[in-house]
Amino acid sequence: MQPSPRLVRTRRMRQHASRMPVPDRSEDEQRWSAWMARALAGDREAYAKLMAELADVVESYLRARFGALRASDFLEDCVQEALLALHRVRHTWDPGRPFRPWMFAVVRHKVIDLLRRSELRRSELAPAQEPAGSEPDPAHRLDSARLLEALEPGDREALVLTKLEGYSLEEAAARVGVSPAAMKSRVHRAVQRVQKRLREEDLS
Amino acid sequence: MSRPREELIRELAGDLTPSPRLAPARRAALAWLGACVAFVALVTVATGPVRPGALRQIVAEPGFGLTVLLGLAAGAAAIFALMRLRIPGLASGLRDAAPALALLLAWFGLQLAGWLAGLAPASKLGARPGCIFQVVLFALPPLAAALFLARRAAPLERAWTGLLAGVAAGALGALAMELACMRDPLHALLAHLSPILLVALAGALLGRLVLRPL
Repeated sequence: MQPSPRLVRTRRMRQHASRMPVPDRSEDEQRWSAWMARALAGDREAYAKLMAELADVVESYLRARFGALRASDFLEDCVQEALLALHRVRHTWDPGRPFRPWMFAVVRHKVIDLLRRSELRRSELAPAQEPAGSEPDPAHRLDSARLLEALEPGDREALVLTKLEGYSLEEAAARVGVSPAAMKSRVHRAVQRVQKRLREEDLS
Repeated sequence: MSRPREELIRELAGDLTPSPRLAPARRAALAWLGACVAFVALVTVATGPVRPGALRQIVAEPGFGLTVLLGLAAGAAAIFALMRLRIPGLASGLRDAAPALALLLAWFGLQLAGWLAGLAPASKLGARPGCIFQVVLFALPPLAAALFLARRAAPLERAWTGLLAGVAAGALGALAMELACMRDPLHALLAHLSPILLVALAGALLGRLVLRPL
């Protein structure tokens, strides 16, 4: 039996991704820990460097997980809210523990919170257009929106319509042909699922 | 619309002041446990008589000793879990609360088994009127202290954190009554242990209210 074209494409993407250089996490860990330790002692320069680097990391993290969020204010809001949250709780980081789990726990929590509260405009979330002539990055596409893809089709549709495209529950329910109560239940289930998967990443 | 990211980073760096380190989870839990056990013991003695021979019973009667041990372990497990939950990335609600809840369940189970089997002799010796209310009242200051300590950090799961504060505080109140009030498994279940559930519920609700979201 021949594998489906989608499966073949996915395998190729994985192969491509496995050949890509893997960033040295331990180096990041050491650098961030050192900067944060200095920041907690009042070193503003180290803190500014740390925040600038974390902003990029958070942005990459969001792009990898929510492919639909491209160049939007929402993405920038998420990054800045995450930075503010990290700033507020910086005293809870223990220099004796790894920096990365602490940081991503805060970021994931903030993203889930914002996702729940988001009222996004469709224009902010239009699917990104690849620049003409450019090769799409298979590794990025593989990761792109994988959180959304993990949802049941009905739940994914509900989440995208209400949270990412900005329809009200009633409008989304009418589009899909279900009752507003059923749509609300689907949205709730989808947000719970996304939250659960982000938490699982947190613990892994 | 967000402001430029660089501007935010400049502001955050400008706002930076040296931050005192948060006490590690184990040390904070031990400090709470020490202070609150002392407080509950003091108010228990101050507000009424302690059942004669209660401390001797802990050693002489294995069933009673196990009851006291389970109560103390449930309270300690709950406060340790709380102190971990208040630090992002260190713990998760249900997984870290499970040992405390299991110990609490075992405590209830032991009393229930004692009542069903008629193992412990029912006795009115040391009966304290209104002990059910005393459990709740004695638990309130420890509950407030636990929530205060949690609030100083950044608990991401506020309801779980509040619930654990309630279990820890309620367990200390119930334990005090187990030692001070009359010894009867059914009375212990209804008047000493059941209020823990009330305090835990209040803790979960208060957790949502008083613990700051990120």
